[in-house]
Amino acid sequence: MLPALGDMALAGATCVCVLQILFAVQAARAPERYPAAPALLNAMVSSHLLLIFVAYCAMSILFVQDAFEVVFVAQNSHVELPLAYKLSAVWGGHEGSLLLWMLMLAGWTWCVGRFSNNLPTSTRAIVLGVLGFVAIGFLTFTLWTSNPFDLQFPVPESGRDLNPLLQDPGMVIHPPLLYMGYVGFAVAFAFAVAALIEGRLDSTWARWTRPWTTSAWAFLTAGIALGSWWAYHELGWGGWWFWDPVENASFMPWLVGTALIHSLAVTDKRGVFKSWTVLLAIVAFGLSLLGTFLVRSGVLVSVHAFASDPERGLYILAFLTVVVGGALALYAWRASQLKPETRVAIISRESALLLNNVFLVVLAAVVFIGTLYPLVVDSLGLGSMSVGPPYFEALFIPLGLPLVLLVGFSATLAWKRSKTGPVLRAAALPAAIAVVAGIALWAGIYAARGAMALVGIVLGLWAIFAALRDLWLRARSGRGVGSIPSSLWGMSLGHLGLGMFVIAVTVVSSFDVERDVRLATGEVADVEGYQFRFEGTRPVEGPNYIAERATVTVLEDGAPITTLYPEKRRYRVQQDIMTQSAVSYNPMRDLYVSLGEPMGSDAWSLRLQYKPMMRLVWLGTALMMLGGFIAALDRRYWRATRSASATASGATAQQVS
Amino acid sequence: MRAHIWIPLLALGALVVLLYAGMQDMDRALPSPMIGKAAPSLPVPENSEAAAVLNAAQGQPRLVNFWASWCQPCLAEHPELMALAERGVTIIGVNYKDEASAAARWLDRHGNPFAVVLRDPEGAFAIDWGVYGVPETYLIGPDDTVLHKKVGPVDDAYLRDELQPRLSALKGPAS
Amino acid sequence: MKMTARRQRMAWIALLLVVVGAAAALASAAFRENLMYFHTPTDIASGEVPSSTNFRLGGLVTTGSVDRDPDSLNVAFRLADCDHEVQVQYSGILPDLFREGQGIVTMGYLDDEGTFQAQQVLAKHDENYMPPELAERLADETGHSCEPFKPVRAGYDTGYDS
Repeated sequence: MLPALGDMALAGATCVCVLQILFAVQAARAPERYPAAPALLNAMVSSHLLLIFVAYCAMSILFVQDAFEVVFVAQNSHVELPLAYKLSAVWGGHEGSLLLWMLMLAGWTWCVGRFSNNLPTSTRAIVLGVLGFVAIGFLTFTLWTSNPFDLQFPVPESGRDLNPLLQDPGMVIHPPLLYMGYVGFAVAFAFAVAALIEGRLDSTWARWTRPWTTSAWAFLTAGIALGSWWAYHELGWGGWWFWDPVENASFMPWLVGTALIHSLAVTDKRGVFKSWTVLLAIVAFGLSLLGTFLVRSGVLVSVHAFASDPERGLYILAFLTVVVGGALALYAWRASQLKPETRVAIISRESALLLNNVFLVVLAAVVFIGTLYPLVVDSLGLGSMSVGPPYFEALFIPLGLPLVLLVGFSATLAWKRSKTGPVLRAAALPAAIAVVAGIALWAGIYAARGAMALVGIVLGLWAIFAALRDLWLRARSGRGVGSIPSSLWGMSLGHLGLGMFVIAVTVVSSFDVERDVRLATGEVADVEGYQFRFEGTRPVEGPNYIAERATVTVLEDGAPITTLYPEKRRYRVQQDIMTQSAVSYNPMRDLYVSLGEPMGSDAWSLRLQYKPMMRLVWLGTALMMLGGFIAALDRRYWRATRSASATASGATAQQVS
Repeated sequence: MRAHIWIPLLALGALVVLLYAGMQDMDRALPSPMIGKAAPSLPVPENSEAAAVLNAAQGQPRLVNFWASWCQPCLAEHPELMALAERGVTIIGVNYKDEASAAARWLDRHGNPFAVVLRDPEGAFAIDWGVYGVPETYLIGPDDTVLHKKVGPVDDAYLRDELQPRLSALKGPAS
Repeated sequence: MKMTARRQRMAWIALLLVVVGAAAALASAAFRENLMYFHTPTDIASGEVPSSTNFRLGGLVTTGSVDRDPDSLNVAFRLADCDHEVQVQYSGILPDLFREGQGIVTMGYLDDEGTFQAQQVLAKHDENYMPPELAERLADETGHSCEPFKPVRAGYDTGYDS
């Protein structure tokens, strides 16, 4: 019953989508002939969301009921699986994750329909039509190549269980957030296509697009950060970013998305960089689709890849070609009709943001080449190779740090044309504090090792203090803290988070210590002033695994500060062995213990790690995400369009981006 | 003059071509002279229980799978065979050039999808079947003729595109 | 200080060229240093692999070859493919799925005695997992396993007991 209901809901959603597109085309051609268009389109979008939601709920219920006649349930669940993981197992495999993807797309589309009353009817129709087209692509993909409601007979008695690696709270929310980001860029894409079709690339268009893009970016930030958090805790060996192809696949849209939100600010405020911004919007969504393709096609192999199938890969590739190719062709046609832009002064906020864009896009290209080059070599038959993490690190340091330097100047540079003097004067104090505090931190705590570490710390502090200065200056010139618009709060928080992130990454990658040791019961190993005493192991039993749990007492100067319980688990159904690490943390350092293997008698091998400032990596990304959400809430974006044309000229009145 | 605006589109084209090339797998289908002929004889079962299972399988559609515990691709196709067995497909396993104890341990560890396991330690029967190596899987019809042969590991695509339609076709007329 | 539109454009283009050029120069240097080729024991035996450069070596762990030093984390084992074997030396914690008969990938270099000094040993969290490059080299063109694997895979055992 439920599987049939799910199938019907998906088929129904496809039909609604077709209607939505047809109607959108009509409404966009002659908006005056269809006065009821907005209401009708909204009704279609709502019913589309409802149908997808029904399908999604049906799948969730099937998981809760252990309905193993459904192939997808049998492959990803098990009677013993805890309820929370049964619900999250819906997106633990390829087919179900598509359901989640479509649910989010329907949700975003609904929001666009609901909150875009200020848009002209024709623009709105085109945006909803494009989103409907994207939805149709994924619906037919699901129904043809990967229907999650497929049945099997006879019904197996039990399922294959969810991959133990995915049984972790971080992994439960990582994919939804990541998809929210990917799918959110579809909205920016739809706005870009609408602008191209209508030939209306202007600051009004940029202002409509900004909140959607910024929130999509914030979701993507959170998704990537959580994925990294998951890898850190669940893979068990303390790594948190591997430059793995699938990680890169989500990082590329993030980099281009970051460029896009900055470039949109310029187009919004000054009406320049129009064709560049629209191109970024197309590329950001194209890279999101590419990410989907890479994960599901089997072209690149990694820890994260879903069971792959060439037919699925082919479909996504074709879809990518049609959607992005179509948009780029439209771009090539329309961009040639754009008037040349007003010139941009070298010392101005526009040019700083353009430089920021250049760096971000170059970084995205670096990731792109590093990820796809092995594929080129392989398909040319030149042997198999891989590009190691040092490649990315060697490039991200020299290309990323100038970006951080630039960040600190963001708010004091004026639009249009800025004088050098005031900018430098405003920079003096935060720069001085950053240098002094940076040297103190570097020499005081980390014994003045590594010149690059000093550069990273100082630049990170510079970004933080510059962001604080911006808030302070604004509060002083306006009417106190309450007068700071949320866009400035968002920007400052984001830059503050970036500064914190840069410091943390610098410190953790320069000063972390890792020791593999063999310890018998009662023996002690010393790492960076912490003594780890191994107290032996005992067997424990979890809901769906058995484990050997070690007790490790951590002492500092002879006094115990905490006890850690790393485990070696064996999951009963899939018989996988997993290393469950144990972490003790405070803002200054993580102590990370993972249990290796039994070494005879009562000794085990253990990996002990000291990771300074690890928490600030997550805190920094959390602040960036928060900054994105706060910026998206700025009232300016949600004001009715009536004043839209007026603000375009008076944009400089408000000196905030 | 405005040629540069076509660059993104060209880049996309190049990328698509590249990705498409990356997805092309070698086609590993080998023709078999056995198709349409009567299935060659199988090794003699080791006990009466196994003989009974083998007898019962006569006149039914069934799979004959040649495998060995030392064979890496056999491990790769193993989950597919398990799934097939769970769905009620009869699979006759022929253990090829292998130690009995190693084979038993392998089945113990990974699960046993086979209705019956026959032993071919010398590979003598494999020659009659035209086995190039392991794994190989033969589909035998109810009339005891070889209907289809898969060289190399059984995978998703093979199950969906080759095996499933043939099995359904066999079941169709009977019911 | 007046700038004509033309000069300004030139300045921008120069800046762009500098950034992109620097990135390209850095990238190509980083690329050359960090490209890691994948080899099998057969490649080493045929002398195709230069010693003392880092590369990835893949193969199956030969049954009975694992020799652990009881007092340290040093471990020695042999990696095999269809035709050859290589002695590997490693110090550290082996991954959860390291066991005899398992296909693994190691990263390191070949020392003067022809022993592979591994700095990293990788085995994926999936017992059926095979790095694709390895799977390709462990099968002949028809997709079959090569028979010399018999000695490697015989006596396959669970290895880890908790």
